Amino acid sequence: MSGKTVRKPVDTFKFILRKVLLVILAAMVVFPLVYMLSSSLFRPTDFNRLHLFPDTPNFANYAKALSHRYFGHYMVNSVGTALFAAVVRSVVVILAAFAFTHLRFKGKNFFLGALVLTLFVPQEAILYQNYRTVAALGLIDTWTGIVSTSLFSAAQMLLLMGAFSGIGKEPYDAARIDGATDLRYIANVLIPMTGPVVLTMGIQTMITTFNSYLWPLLVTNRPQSRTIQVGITMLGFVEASDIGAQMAALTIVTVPFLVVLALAKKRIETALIRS
Amino acid sequence: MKKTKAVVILVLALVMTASAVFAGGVEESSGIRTVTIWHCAQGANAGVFSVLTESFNSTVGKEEGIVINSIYQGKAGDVLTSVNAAAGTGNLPDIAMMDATAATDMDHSDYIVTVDQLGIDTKYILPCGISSYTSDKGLLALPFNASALLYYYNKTLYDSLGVSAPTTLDEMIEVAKVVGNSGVTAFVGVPATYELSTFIGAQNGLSYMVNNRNGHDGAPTEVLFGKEGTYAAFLEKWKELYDTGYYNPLVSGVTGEFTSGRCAAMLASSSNLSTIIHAVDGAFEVGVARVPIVNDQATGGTVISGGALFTFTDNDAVRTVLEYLISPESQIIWAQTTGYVPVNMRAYESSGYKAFLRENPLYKVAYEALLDSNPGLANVWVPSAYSIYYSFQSNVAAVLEGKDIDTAVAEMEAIVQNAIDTFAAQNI
Repeated sequence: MSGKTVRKPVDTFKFILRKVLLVILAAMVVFPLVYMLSSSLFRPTDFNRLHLFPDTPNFANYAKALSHRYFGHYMVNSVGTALFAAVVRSVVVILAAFAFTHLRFKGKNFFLGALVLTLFVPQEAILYQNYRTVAALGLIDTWTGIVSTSLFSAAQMLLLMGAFSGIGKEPYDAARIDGATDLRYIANVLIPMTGPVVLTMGIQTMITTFNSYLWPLLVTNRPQSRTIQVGITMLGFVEASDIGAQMAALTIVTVPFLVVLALAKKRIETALIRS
Repeated sequence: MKKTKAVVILVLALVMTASAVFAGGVEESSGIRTVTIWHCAQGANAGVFSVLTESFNSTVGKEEGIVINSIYQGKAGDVLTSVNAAAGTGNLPDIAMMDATAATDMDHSDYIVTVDQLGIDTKYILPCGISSYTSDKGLLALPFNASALLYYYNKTLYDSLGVSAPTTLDEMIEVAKVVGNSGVTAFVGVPATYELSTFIGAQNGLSYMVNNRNGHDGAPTEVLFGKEGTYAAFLEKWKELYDTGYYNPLVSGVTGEFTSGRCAAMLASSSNLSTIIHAVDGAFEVGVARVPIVNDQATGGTVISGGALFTFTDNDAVRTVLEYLISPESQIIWAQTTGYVPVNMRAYESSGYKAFLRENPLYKVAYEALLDSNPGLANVWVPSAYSIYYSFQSNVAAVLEGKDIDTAVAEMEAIVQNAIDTFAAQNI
């Protein structure tokens, strides 16, 4: 008798079902990306019939998208502001969540309540006032101006407070007895133990900032300061029904993220497994 | 720990430095006056607008020491949002290109400089263009990118089926049946405020959606399209068209459906003409015609649409720029490349433009439609115009899906009346 495990028919069926479901779900996630890439190589007439791949790849769409003289600026600004917002917001939210979960100070509940109240204020309601503040500070056409309204999120702070509370106070007390400062405890204990939450928050901030349209449009006037979401609208490919060029522009925008994801895949997986 | 701190400090330093590098607004050279224009021209239209402004900068501007700094500020609605935000901050542009949806806000603003205040001669500007931006305050904005709603159709298909562009909604229903039987969807798109201002405005020779001449003679106080039965008259015919079964009620991607040949007709602005011809790329011959009328009494014609230049600074440089942009030469360049209608009537006296129209007869359909229209026709100025736009579209779509017409009309009346009342309570 061999040492191999023999699967029961029911287990085999479950195994196959699981794999089939995984393949279907993976296909649902990957298909839009594949179609975006594929249709970025379509000729205009290729869109008139239903098919997945172009008969002959048409790279003119990429030439058209890249020919815009500020396309590079749009990309740099979008990636830069997304990273900027993710880093600064993470620092702010981590410190706030730490303070509210680990420290005692006067007016703690008042400040927490005030910050949570910001959840109920729609961004649109304070759009004009935010603009006036940013304009008064001379931050029009700056990255700081673009990310200024994204540097704090009460929702993320609450999420992180939940994660920090789950760890309990014991590790903090032990670290303090060992002479660790608060910052050292945050960096060496708290963040590693809540890695997936912090990572998810950072990615979420990056995506939200990268995708925002109205605020970056409002606080920038120079084409060199514009972000990709504004830039793509400006290219007018949608208005011109030039879907191929639009898909090429979107592919160019998406590829850097896919590369980053591929490079950081191992790290993200490890962080998730550790949790 | 030291390593972590160093990385955090390094990252923050990098992003702060980058932020500083990208900081800074437009700097003016000494002695040169800069006229800033916020515009909403996209794609090919943005290219032509850029040609016009660069041409100004290298000719008239060079002589007069004026530079146009043209800035894309998103779609017309986004430009309005930006103008409203910038008001009172010192960041307002000198000129902003917006459409009729901005008119109510601008009419009630205290920072707009009317064309009358600027003292620009408008005797050669299309009368319907003047009328479309005139309020009790005077001429609010200078028509620049004027257009008209057109019926676009697949002429190759229509010719092969022996049908021609319909002139009434009854004819449109009959044409839809013929086209649909050939296996092609007859019509695509769901009308919204833009289309309805013509469908309703043309009825009974001249009709308005709201009182005070569609809001031009003062803020509207009452909805008219319900009690005058004009909206219901349109909905009845439109539902009949939908019931042919050859109508695709898409609200986005409409142009793509038409240019791909999947749908044989749609309604769109004349400003899309060049773009559509380019997108069809010879796959079939594009035809354009005047918008089919709701019934025999709907003789008012077509409402002028498009945009205009709203001004916020009163000086010679701004005046010079505006006069350049509405000059026959500029308007011809703008119209030939886009499909907009030249707002300066002297453009039509140009032998070059006459020759262009002879070779490209599609480009004169909108102009002729506007000339034949009742000069009293006016686009609708209502508060919350963008929100109402989508409400109308949803309302029409709901009727197509079976909602009772009387109920739909009453609901739409309530939405528009609520917007009017809210605006009055806040601003008047």
